[in-house]
Amino acid sequence: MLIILALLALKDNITQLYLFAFGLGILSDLVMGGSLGFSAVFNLFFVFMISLFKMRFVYNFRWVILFTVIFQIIWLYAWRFYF
Amino acid sequence: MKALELRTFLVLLLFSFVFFAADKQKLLDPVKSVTSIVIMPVQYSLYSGQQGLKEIFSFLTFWRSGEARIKNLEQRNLELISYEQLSKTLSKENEILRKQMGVSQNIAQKSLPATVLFSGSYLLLALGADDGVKIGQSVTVFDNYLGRIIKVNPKTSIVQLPSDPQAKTPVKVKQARGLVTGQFNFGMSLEKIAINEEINADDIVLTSGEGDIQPNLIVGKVGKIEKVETDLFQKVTVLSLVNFDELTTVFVITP
Repeated sequence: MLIILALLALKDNITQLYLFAFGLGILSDLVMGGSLGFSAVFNLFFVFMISLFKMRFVYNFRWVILFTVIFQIIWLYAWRFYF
Repeated sequence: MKALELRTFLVLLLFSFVFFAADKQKLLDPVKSVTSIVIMPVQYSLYSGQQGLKEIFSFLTFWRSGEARIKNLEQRNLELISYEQLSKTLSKENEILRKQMGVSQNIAQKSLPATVLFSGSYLLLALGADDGVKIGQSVTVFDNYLGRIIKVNPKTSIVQLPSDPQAKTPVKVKQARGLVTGQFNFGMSLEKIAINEEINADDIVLTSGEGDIQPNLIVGKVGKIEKVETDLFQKVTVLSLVNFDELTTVFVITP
């Protein structure tokens, strides 16, 4: 899920990306049985960090992988609160 | 801040927190109940599809280890037949002794069959609060302990596996008692086993009955044992006897 958002962030439409992140988060929580809204919050912060980064630096495929890996590690620790 | 679209971010973040808070208060249960009618068949199809694909490609690994596994299974089968006879004899003696002493059998507990919708770091079951499932109930399959229920939705429930780092399962191995803790996806470790306790590889690890978990359910078998004479406790790894990826139906023990 994070890799999809990171790849879509290569485009310029951040509003659509926020909406997609929110919708994908809610849907994944419904499917996975976790706390509704948890993944949406996580995804929104993920997209927000990427957009902060894009304001100052050039965002390319290298940063897609780095952002995804960093947030995946954070998710491993945040996961205990998922249920 | 236009590049950040801060207003959109904050509005959606607020909605997410509202959903999260409402879900924690169980206010969204009616909505989840309705959406599960659509979502559960999709979950089940995805999981069955995944199982099917695994089966199709399993022949690729089977040709190397299959013959050895078959021989091992045949030998285990012969051993189990003799254990079965011994078990029948002991059961009869047990029954006679109970009648003589006037001791009644333990109350049989009810178990509800549940379809597995997802198996990964946890199990997602197609059984929820509407079916009488409650947090803390144990989940088993063929007397193997699979975990306990940690979250209950109207139609589904989440099972925390013994291999979860947050899970601590009180167990016994022969005369020793300890605690099994998960190691992410690297199996389980048995802690608080004193250095002088005699434990061997392949010994069966059973639930001890503490912590509201039914006793004598199989958690796994002892794998590697590391003993350092200067330590108080020995390090023991526990291997699960159950392949969680192949589970389709499990049982929730209800009082």
